Amino acid sequence: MSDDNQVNITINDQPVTVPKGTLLVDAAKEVGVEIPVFCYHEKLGPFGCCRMCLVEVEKMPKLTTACTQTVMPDMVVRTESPKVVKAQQGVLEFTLLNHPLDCPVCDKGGECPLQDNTFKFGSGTTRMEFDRADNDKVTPLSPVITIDRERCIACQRCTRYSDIIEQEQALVMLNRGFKNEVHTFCDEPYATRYSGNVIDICPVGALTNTEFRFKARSWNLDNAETLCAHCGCNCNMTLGSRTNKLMRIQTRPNDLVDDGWICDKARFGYDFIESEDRLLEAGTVVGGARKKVNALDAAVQVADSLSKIVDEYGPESVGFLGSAYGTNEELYLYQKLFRSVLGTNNLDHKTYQDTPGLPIDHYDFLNVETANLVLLIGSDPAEELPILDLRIKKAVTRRGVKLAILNDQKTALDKFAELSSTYNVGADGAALSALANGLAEGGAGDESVTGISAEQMKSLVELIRSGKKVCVVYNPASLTGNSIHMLKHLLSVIGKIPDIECGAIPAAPSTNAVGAMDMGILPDFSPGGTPADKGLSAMEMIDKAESGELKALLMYRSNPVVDFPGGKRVEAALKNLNLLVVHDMMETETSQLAHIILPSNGPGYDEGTTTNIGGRVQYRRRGLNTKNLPDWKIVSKMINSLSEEPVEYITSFNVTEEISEKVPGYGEINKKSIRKEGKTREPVTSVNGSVPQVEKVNSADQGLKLRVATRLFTRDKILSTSSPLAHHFLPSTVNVHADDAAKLGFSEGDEAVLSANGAEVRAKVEISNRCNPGAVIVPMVADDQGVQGLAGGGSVSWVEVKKG
Amino acid sequence: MIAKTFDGIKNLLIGLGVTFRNLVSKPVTFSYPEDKRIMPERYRGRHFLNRDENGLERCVGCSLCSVNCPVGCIHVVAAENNPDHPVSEGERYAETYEINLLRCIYCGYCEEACPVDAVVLREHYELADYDRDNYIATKSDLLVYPEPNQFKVNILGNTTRV
Amino acid sequence: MKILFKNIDMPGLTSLSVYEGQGGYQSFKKAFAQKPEEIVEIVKASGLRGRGGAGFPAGLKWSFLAKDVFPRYLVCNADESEPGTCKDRELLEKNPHLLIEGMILTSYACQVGTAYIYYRGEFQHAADLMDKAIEEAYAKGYLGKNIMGSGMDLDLYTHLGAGAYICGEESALLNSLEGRRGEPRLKPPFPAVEGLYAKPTVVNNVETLSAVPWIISEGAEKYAAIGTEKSKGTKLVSVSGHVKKPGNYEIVLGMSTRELIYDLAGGIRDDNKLKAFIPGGSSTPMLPADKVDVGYDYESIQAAGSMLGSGALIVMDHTVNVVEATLRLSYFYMHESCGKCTPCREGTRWMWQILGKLQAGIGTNGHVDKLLDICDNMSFKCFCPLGDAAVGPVASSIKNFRSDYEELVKKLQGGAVSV
Repeated sequence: MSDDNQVNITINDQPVTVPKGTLLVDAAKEVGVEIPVFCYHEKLGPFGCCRMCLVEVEKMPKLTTACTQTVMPDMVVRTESPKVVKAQQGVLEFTLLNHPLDCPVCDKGGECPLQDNTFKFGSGTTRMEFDRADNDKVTPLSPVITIDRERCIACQRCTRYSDIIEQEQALVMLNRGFKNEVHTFCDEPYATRYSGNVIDICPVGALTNTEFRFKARSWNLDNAETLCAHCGCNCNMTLGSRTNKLMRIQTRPNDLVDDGWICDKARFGYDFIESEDRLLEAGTVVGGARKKVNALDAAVQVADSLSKIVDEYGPESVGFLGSAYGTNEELYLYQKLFRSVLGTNNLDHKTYQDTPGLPIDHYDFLNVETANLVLLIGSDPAEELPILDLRIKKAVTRRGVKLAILNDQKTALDKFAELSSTYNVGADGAALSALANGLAEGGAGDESVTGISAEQMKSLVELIRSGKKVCVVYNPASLTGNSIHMLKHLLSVIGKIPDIECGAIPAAPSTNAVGAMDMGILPDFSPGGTPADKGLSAMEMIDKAESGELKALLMYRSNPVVDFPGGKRVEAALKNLNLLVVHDMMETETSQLAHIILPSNGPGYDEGTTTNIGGRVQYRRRGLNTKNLPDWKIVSKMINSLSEEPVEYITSFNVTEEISEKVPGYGEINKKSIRKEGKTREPVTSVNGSVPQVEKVNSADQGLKLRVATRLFTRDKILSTSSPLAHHFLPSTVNVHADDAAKLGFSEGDEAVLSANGAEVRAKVEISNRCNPGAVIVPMVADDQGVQGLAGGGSVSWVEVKKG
Repeated sequence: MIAKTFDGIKNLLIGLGVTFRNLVSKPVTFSYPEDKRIMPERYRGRHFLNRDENGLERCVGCSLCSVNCPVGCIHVVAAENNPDHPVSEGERYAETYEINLLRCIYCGYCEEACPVDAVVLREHYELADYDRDNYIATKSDLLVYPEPNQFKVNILGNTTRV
Repeated sequence: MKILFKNIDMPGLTSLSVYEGQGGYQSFKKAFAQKPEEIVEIVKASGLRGRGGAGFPAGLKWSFLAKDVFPRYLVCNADESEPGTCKDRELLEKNPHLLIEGMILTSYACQVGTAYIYYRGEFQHAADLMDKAIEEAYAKGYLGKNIMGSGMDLDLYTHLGAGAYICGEESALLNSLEGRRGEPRLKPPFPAVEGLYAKPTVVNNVETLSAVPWIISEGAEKYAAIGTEKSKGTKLVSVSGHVKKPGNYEIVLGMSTRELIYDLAGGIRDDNKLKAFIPGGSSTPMLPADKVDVGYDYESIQAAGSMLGSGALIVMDHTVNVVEATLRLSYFYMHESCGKCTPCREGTRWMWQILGKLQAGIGTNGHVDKLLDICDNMSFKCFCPLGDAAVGPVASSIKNFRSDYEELVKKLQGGAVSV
């Protein structure tokens, strides 16, 4: 019993044993004693300003706040003594003194801690006889957040969130005393990537969701516990709807994934599910006009047409371009259709190279906090995986974790890094191999190639060697050519360093990037990372379509015309096909070219499991009802119409069961095991390839290397111009290094024209040292920016930058 | 014998007394469709939505009536007021307010729950109709009151009909 | 017995040469011959207590510094904003080198390498003088690297606040010094463990630090011999209000308040009757005239129901309307509350509103009781002592001068004032 790390205390005569360092308010929860709080939030730590949690502790002269007091051995605590009750009533009276009686109108009504605490602990009457404070009512803090200053009780949860969690200090308290108010400096809009979380943590209705304001009362909502389908974090969220209309999205804390936060794209970026551009009906294109057909009939037609082409031209003549945005179930069934039924290995979901499996452990989000060193390679979490960004900030600022960054561009996380090295654009292979060599046998690589000085490489090697537990976070999508093999080699080198514990997170930006690979949407691997005969990769399929060797393509929620390098060439290649089937949720540039269109339900309406970058499989619940068939039903109809032994799936979980049977690593994934927090799938086996040679960067006579940077808020099919997040959209910009700008005669704000491959992109020049000289960075700001059209097929693209 | 006769006559007169008394008194029944009954002030009949002194709707769309309704016959969809052309006094108003009068049990809980004295049950009891759909009372049905419905708020915050 | 005000009115004392001529900067030889821990012991033995308000023993505070954690900081609290107090200002403006000497000695004792003086926002003049004095001290080698060959380095900086009373609270002061919002911090950790920039920090008042040189050069026993048993040494008292000679007086602790008012300060103006006095600055409870014989030291005043505080004696004669005086004080606290904790932010305003009603003659006895209840709801329930300070004048004025309140209430009942 006498465990050194356990403390015995008594709360209201009930004994309780809690770990050392526990706050009283948390200890009380253990025995079901409720201590009311406003300012305390377990993720923000003790603060003690609202004074609501006063309790009586024996041998302490005055009442103490339970949210700041850690447990001490043999403490005797009373939370219901007359002294405490008087204090609680007094504090509540003070809190309510200038709080307006807005409850019938207030959005927080019904889920308001102030309401609840007043009911449970308040005195029931007011002695206030003066006019209540007259503060600003509806004041926009940003286009998505509105503050009602009268309702604010100055608990400072939001400002602390901005300070501690976001590390932005964007939201602050201004003025003093009774006149203090939550505001931003100089009236700037409060527009961070994670600003929406303050709405959830506000204990009153002061910070409100502008989109949701006055639309519905909290108790009227149907809340679906679902997942976000934007990035690879798969944050847990609650989708509240009323009469089948999306009302609001809130956090659903899951410490193993999101730590209780979601980004603004998750909270405000779902209006596409009610967009007019949605594909809701199946159709066939006859003579240029689209004819509406029954989805199941269309599915049968697709299956028949594909099998006819296979019969005629062989299985290599059909291909499947999937997407890392689909669920495991849908992707698995498509994989089954193409691999088992049609007999082709032409499956892919991405334009970069990647292989399933890691030579070291597959780490999840928690390991970011428990590691000693986080090594970030080619990843920009703030734009790609916002919640991972928060997790890394937490690790660095509050867990004492060191951060090392190896990237070809400067990112927002650089200021938190112990060491940040920038390699030349396109030299990722060389840089990774230099680091691997440095770790294995010393040496620093060729600075003229990598762009990293020998000294910096040496300190990076030292930093990795001295980190007892290293968590590598890498973004395969940012690596060029075959560098992914270099990276896997580097991982195995780190794994071999003695006395080091290590693991990696393959931080690809898309929702189900890990799941898509696990489900075998790869040309060279079957589900579970089992090697298969090599089929055509995505880019090869486009090439073969261009040359006419590929006859039919099925696109599942993929839009190569915009997203693939090549632009016009891709469009021409797709036009060349005998059969183009597009199965998508939105009308896209690619769906305009399709011969047969199948509607996909997409996030909000669909259900299924997804695997996040930490390897955690979670269930994405349906939030809204639709009359349309789920995607897996359409795919299974295709399979069944071709297969001799049809398998009928009743629910999506029947597909999940088949996955757990057939896909290595998914054995323990089932409806029950993933119910609450999800379950980590067994890491798939890694193929030990030979160490590849560093690819020579193809050079051009003139121009600069192009790096397309991911942006969180891109004007695309998901976030349209009418999106509440439209204020985050940027104009087309190009980041030019100061040296190059001097050579080209650019000054800040100039108009530039970037041209390559016959495509042109206009952009505003921003002179920054975001990348090393010799390259430009163009953030992908919109679909119609056409920046992917500049990229060629090779590992590095060159662009000519001229004044416009 | 005589005493018995007198007793009989006496009882007869007592009995007839009741008869004669009722012969001249006002009848308790009345010819209903022609004559309407005046209901007590607190009678819980058909619902109405009140307007305030300025002619704005009192209802702020808080949905407390619908959450209190034991049979769930009230449907409210709220929306934000346009400050230039407000529909109600508060920041929000009821865009849709529907009561299913067939499902309603006229318990008056909605009236009791209403924080702004918007919904009231009044003495209107003639609710017969030929069409079920007419029993869905919408805002246009509820905001109309045959006489100008004006209210004054007393010092305790309670409203009384003028 | 004058220690701090020994030569206070000597012309040119702000210059280094005059100060040295008066025996300034002579304590170093003695100090640097001893180990830092020994200096701490000397100050402990002298019984010197914090002169900022709380009266916490200075040497004890120094000994609480987290062991072996460096760098450490010394911060001199010159944010003298307590209504009625003006003693530090006189020291700063007339004898800046005394403070510098005291800070050098304290830095030596506490092994501090960087020290700050945090001025009240309005002390621009004093800060300018101090900057000049610091310059001189650097030139003479009293500050900077390897001071007087002792191997000790010290950099001294001045910092002006922005005019907030709360920044006199040590943790709010540290926040403000770091460039954050001037709000008190959660304690524990105390500044001695995690203070400025999360490093061990000593925060002391100007008067406390200025007393150190004398203690070092004359010895702890000599200092301890002055004053009463527990309140040792001398204290600067700012006497203000209705006295004939208001001003700063250095007294030996334990002197009776009557002596202070009637002898040193020349008695009540116009020879009026004493009605009330606030012994230690506006935060301390008001005392009625019959307590005037109380000894002016920490213990006696506490026994009388008030506090010595920062030593600002505010005297009120019989013409004073206590309710009005309390209203003014409560306005000050409402204005200066930082707004961090609910009881202080809301309570100070509410009290001010109710007092305003009472003063206007439209209050009732219920209001007086309500005030007492608000005082009870606030006292010891606020985040920092400002809340308790705001309660002090209100609760004590009702306790001691309820009749003043009732008189105003009666006015209403008599119909003299219409509501």
